[in-house]
Amino acid sequence: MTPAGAATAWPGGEPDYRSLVELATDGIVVTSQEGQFFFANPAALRILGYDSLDDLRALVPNAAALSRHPGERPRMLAALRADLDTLRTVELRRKDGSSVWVEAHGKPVAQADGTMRLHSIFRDLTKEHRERRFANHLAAIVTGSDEAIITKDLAGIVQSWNPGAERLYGYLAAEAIGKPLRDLIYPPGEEGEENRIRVQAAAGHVVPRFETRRRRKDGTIVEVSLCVGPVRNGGGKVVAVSSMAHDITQIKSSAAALRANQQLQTFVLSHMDDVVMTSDVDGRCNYVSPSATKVLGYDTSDLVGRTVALLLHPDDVEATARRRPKGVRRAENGTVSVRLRRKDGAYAWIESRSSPLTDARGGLTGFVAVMRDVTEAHKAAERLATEASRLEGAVRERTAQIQAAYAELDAFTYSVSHDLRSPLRAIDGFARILRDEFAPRLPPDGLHFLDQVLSGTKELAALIDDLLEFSRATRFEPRREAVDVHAMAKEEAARLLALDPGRAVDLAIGPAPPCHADPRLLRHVVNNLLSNAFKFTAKTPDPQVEFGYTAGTQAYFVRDNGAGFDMANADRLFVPFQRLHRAEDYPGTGLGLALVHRIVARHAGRVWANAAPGKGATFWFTMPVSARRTHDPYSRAHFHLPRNSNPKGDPTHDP
Amino acid sequence: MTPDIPVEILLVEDNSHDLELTMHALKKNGLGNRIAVARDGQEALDFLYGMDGASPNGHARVILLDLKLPKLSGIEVLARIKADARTRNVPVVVLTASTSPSDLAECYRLGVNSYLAKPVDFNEFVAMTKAIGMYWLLMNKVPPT
Repeated sequence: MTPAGAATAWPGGEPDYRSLVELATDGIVVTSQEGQFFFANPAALRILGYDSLDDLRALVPNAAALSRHPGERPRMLAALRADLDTLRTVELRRKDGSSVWVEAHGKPVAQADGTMRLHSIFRDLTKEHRERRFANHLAAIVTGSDEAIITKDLAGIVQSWNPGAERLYGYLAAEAIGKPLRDLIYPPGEEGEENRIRVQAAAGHVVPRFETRRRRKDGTIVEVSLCVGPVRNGGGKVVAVSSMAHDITQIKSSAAALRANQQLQTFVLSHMDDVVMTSDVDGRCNYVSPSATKVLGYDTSDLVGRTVALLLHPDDVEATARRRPKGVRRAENGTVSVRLRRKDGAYAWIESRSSPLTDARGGLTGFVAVMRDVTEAHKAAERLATEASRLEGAVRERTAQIQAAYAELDAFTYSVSHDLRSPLRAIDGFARILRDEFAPRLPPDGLHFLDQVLSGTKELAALIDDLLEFSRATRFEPRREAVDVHAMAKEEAARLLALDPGRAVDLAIGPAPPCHADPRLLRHVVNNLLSNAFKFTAKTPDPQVEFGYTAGTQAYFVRDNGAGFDMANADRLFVPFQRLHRAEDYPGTGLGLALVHRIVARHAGRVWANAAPGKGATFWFTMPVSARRTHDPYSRAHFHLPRNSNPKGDPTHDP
Repeated sequence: MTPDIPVEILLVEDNSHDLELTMHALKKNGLGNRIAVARDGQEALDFLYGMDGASPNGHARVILLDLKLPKLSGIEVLARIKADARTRNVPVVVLTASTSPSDLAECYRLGVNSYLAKPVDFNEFVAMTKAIGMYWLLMNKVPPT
């Protein structure tokens, strides 16, 4: 059995071998070439967790099956067969399923019958393996940590410097290791603290976290949170000091900002007149500012935990529930005005602006509201509304009175004008009889005076006629029918020419579209404007009168080249009894243009003029083109004297 | 008033000036002879129907009626004349100062034969009077009563 070329001669026999194998602390197994177990020493059974060789053989078909990793099994056997006397660390499965790490080697041994057996010997390295792996994990943790982790020996020289330290302090490990790195200390020269802490740690104490400052390589100062502890060797002796630090600059400034914010908030909330309240999603008050006492009379403790909606005025509850404003004005930005019951039982008008409160994920957690006491403003607004309504009523009443007065005045004008005719007829009649039948018996002076009487009655008759027309134009609603204005102008012009056959007037009646108007009233307008044109051209050498229509302003016009007038006086044109010429020069009642204005206004039209002294005048007027009734400008005709004859506000005055 | 004499014209007029002027105008046109004058509405009715309202004692070929009359208005007189079979065919010419459209409409509704507004100008009035006489007394025919 002795291998050829053995280095040393074996002193004993078979029993010695067996005893040694059984004593060995390494596991020793002998298997077939296929890995079937022939032998396992007690150490092997212990390492693998089996009771006996039979136990092992019953449960493990071949040695390769012991491998934890199925992929490694063929290689395990192949390695043994190939006589590779190599040490391998493999992970095996014990009977109880746990892992065991072993360092194994083996070799094939030829038997007398020519078969081969595989001899293997393995050592349990599980403990070492675990320790190594733990150390690796620790190193990985230190390397991967965001904390700056460094160790220094007891003299203060840097021994290790992780990437976290590189990031925090700006020094690379290569720059830091082996140096005391006093430049980190801030303020400079304050090594005392550092030394004291190191001494504490060296004495075996863990120094709990504290905040301090460090200077980075680039000179900037960083706020850090630091903890320091001892590093012991296997024998428990402190051999180094480790420290862990992280940047708290951001946290420090946030905390400072938060503190300032809280101080501001506390100050504002305790001094503001408005009430700030937060509530949960069900409307129960979480917080209310102290001003609640002033505004509502309640202590904050009265309100916290209560549902504020219970204080709503009954009318406002209903309105709020129906979300239909009635006594509650709901504005776009979450503003409502409601009445809340004060502790003393009175109601305060509160204008409340509210906004939802949400958690980090946007879920509704409650509401915050700022409430302002607007009771005084509300009372003032109510007083104002009452006053406005009273004034409105007064204005309405006055307007009705004025309208009634105007109507009465019109009726009076009509009646007076009418009654004036009768005595006038008597004066004219008897004077006429005197003039016609007693002329031979009257002296020439008497006849002259009689003529003066007759001339006076004629003027008075014309005035009465105009007054009656003026009154009629106001009292009756104008009819609306299609009127051929062109034909009407022709007729009126012919009539005027016939009245004074001696006159040679260059007359032009241009095309004009029909309109919808009261024909009788419109005839007055056309007649008045044309007869004015005739009248004011009486002293013009080459008199011209034109009637026409301008499409631009949609206005009819009458133009003459007669006496004209100064536009400075234009605002008096359409005022009753206002005359721009002496009656001796151009006789008239002073009512003609006022009547024109009133008729045009009653048709919702407008009338205006343009003229210059000695250069003639042009009068424009508009009339409705459709049969549709426009707004009746009756009241306008009453309340606005025609200073600016532009009832529609159309800026176009001149075509 | 002389009811026994048959008259050509019954003139109903309360205003003395207008009455005198009308009479003068009628005379100037040769119509001044057979004129009866009533100074108010009641007198006009008395003339036509007698004091008891039953016995006709006055007849006129044409009635010139003012509207503005004391006691009984011209409109009421017109209504009575046109409602009574005995006088319905007598032409009634309203001669008035009123140019009120409502008076005009009412008179025509009641069956007036003509409606004339008194002109202020006396010459025109004389011409109008002449025309009335010419037309209603000479040219116009009425059925026998």
